[in-house]
Amino acid sequence: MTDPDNCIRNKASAVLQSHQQHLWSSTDRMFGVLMLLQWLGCIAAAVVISPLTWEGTRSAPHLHLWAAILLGGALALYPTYLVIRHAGSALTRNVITVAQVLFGSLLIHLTGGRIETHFHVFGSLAFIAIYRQRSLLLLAAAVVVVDHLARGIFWPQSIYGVLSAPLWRSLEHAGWVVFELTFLILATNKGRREMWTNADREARLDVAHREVEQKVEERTSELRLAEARTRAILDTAADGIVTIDERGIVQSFNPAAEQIFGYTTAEVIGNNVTMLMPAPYESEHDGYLANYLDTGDKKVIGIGREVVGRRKDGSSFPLDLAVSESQGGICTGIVRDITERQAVDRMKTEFISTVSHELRTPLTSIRGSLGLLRGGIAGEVSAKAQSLIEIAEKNSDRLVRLVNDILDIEKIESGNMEFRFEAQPVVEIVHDACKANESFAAQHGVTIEIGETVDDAVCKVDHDRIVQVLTNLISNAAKFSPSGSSVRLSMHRVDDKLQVEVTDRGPGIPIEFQSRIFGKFAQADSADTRESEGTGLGLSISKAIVEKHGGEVGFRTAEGQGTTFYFTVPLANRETSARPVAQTPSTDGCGPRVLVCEDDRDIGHLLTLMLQPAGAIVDVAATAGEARELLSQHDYAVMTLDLMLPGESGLNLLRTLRADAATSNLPVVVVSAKASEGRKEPDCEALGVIDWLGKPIDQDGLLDSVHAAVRSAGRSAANGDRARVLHLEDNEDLASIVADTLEPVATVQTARNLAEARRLLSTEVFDVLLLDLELPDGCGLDLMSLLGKSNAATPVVIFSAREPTADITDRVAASLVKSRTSNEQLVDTITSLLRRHAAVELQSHQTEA
Amino acid sequence: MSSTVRGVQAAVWAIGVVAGFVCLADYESTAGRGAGSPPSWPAESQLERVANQPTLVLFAHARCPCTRASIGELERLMVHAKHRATVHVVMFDPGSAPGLNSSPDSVGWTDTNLWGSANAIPGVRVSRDPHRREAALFGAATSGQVVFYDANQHLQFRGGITGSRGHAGGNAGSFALIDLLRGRAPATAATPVFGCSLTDSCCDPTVDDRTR
Repeated sequence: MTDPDNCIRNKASAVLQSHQQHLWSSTDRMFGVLMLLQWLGCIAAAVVISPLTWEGTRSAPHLHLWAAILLGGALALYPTYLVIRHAGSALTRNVITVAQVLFGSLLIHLTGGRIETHFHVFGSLAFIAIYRQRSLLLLAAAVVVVDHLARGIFWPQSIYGVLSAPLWRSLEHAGWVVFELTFLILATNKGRREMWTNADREARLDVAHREVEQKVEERTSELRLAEARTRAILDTAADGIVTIDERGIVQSFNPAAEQIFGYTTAEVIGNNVTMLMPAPYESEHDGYLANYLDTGDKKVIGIGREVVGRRKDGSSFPLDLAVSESQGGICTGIVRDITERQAVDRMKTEFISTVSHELRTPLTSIRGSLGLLRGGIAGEVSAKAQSLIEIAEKNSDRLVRLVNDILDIEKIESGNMEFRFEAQPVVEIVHDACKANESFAAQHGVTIEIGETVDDAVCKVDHDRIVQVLTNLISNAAKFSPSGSSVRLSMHRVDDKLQVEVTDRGPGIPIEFQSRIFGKFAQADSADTRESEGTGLGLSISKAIVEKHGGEVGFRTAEGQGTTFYFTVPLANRETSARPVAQTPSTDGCGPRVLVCEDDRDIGHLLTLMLQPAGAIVDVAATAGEARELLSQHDYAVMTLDLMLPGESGLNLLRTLRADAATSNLPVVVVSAKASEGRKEPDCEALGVIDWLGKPIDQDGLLDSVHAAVRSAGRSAANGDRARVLHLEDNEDLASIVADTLEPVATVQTARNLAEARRLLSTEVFDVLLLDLELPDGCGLDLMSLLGKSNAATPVVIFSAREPTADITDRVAASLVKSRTSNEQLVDTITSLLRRHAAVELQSHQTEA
Repeated sequence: MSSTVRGVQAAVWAIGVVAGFVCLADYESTAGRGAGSPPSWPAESQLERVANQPTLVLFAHARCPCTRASIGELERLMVHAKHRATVHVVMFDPGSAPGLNSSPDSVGWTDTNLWGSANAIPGVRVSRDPHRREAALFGAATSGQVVFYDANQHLQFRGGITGSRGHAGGNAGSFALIDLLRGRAPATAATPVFGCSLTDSCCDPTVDDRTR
């Protein structure tokens, strides 16, 4: 590698050499002119001063005249010749130096030794110093010295006027010459240093300039390469790429865009991009550009979206469009014709819809039938038959899970899985999941226990999806746990997240399987050696669901010791208070169980006394916490609620109960001195209060209200007032199964199609409508617009093979998916809605009264 | 062109130049014919002299360019000669009437800058010397010849007062005259004379070649 300093030094030397050469050449030319002028001057001096020499009366040209012409010519012409032919050469400037000094000598001769003429010598030395070369000054001095010495030796009187000149005269002459030479040499040295400085500066500039030029060349080369690459990409890209300026004028149009739009590049370049858009999008685009130029608001840039394009033949077609902005206001649009993709999507959607319906509906029938059989609907069956029923039920469950998992995976991958996030206590979800999987765990001889919990942790989650995740983890843990062991659920905070763990005592996860455990169809054992049933999709689905919640999934495992799967979900800001444990006294009875939530012990006792005559079993809770605890321990037919509880108001307690799936339908009668104020709450209607009773308490009113609540909650109770459910279902088998399943709580009237349902609704009143979405003559939801006045407040439940979208679920009281819903869940849902409906009816009647 | 050829050219040039300067120096250092001046003031001379006062006479060719230096030296000598000696400049005038004349001749032979320069020196008496009569009396053959006679009319110095032909500046003749004017013995009593010849012939009998 070349040393940079050395490089600059060499460069500076070259520059200095160049400058010197230029200086020498220009000075040579100056002397060339000066020589000729001096020659003419000498001739003029000779002509004026000594043109003739005399002998008496005869005259002849003076020798000075010849000397001026001939000697002066010699002194002038040869250096001039060298200047013309060899300007800048060392010989030229040396000859010039000698000639210049000798011109001084000649002039001294011609002027008769005038003292003024001696200044020519000093002037000559100054001129020679222009060369900035010490050797030339020394040469000039040498010529002067030699001239003086020679003349001093041979013609001493011509210099000093005497034949034997004293030494001091020579020293004096030499002294003056040395005096001037000293300063001239100093000036020359200074000049040379300045030249070196300038040369060094110029060299550095030149080096810097070259470096810049080299970098520019490199960048230019890179740019060319990048441009070539870009061009190659543009030419070969499968997507159409169109660039426009800030006015919307097309700047480039690649071959793929030509194919998509049918235009050639030449036809598009220079025209407005709106030519590629059908009405009304073209005017929208103009408006967008104008707004963008005015405000800088980028509505489209950076966002991929589906738009409509127009081909050269005028036909419209769907496009995927992604727009990016680069410097100079140039926007690049990447377009892709998605006509085929949309067709495929439609086909896929139709296929999935068909699969959902055609698989889930019969599976629901099968499972429901088996459940009913197992429950003894057909009477006692033999042990052998019972065993076969259990096998059939188990495998139908397995098939249901497989179908559900496959459909879930499809929805996750297509981004169509919908989530309903709500802030809620996760501990309750854990309890729900635990409860839902108890029977499955029991089938494997495993128990589920809940360890450490964070009761006040509230997270914004989709309840059903988190239950789905926990179900996956718990069922996995149960399947791999040895019989007799337990699966432990626990939860704790990790920074700003809540971590839920499911721990088993199974064999652990083999190392080779750990890296792909969250992959699709991942099974630790191969298909032909599989010991545990499962689709291998559960963990993959769970991971996707948790990530949608902003959390993550992981596991810890040790072979032979067990595995802990965990997932995290972000904690919400709102936190509920810790769950207290409170036991309340209860009074045994034979009627409905009633929870009295009253902080005043005397009033609580009074309410107990009022209710006991009606056969009610009464528990008293003095605080909201005690009430929750009792609610978690017993099923209550009714709760009376005081609004002025210590610590947490009765209304707040009621709101939290409504948010809890287990108590969302609990009939509540408010018994409070502030009942009238509570009734004015904005959400009082949503709270589903059966009645608002003030104090002092009227026993008859209290009993009426409780009775109404009990009636609403348990139309299934043996009082003969059975609830009626209209089930709209085209599948005869499933309709029969549902009727049998709901038989304990309601009378089910089945309609095979919309027309039949309309007819029934026009003549009869129902407490719940259970609708299938896909019917031979339309969608079940169409029925909602036809509900008459008598059924206007009737809650609607969707029970379909297709999962309803969010906008559908918002319109109905509940939605259930076939094959995902067990018989028990169906019964619970219907029962809950029947209670709520009864409460609403009661309120309505009271208002009318 | 090769460097050798250029070197040869330069050498030839240098030799030629040196030769030219040698010739020039030799020419300028070649003295004219000296004067066979009489040891005592010639009685036939018409030049005025003051009793008891030395007399200095410079013979000049009015058109000799080399004598301009001698007149310049005389001007400087006059600083010492004023009121101490009688100083004459005798201009060779071949065309005027016989007898000394203190004004330039009518035909303009002596109507030169040299006459004007000499005449402008205070204390110097300039006169024409028709037919070189006075020069002959004092044996002067070369322009610039100076003779110095003391108060007793004895010849004390003869020669030129320039170091070379037409070359101004200090010289042995001037130094000797300064000594004489100050009453001191001169270092030399005779010096070569550099200037134009006052005669047409190289064999003028009045010329004393011994002073050359």
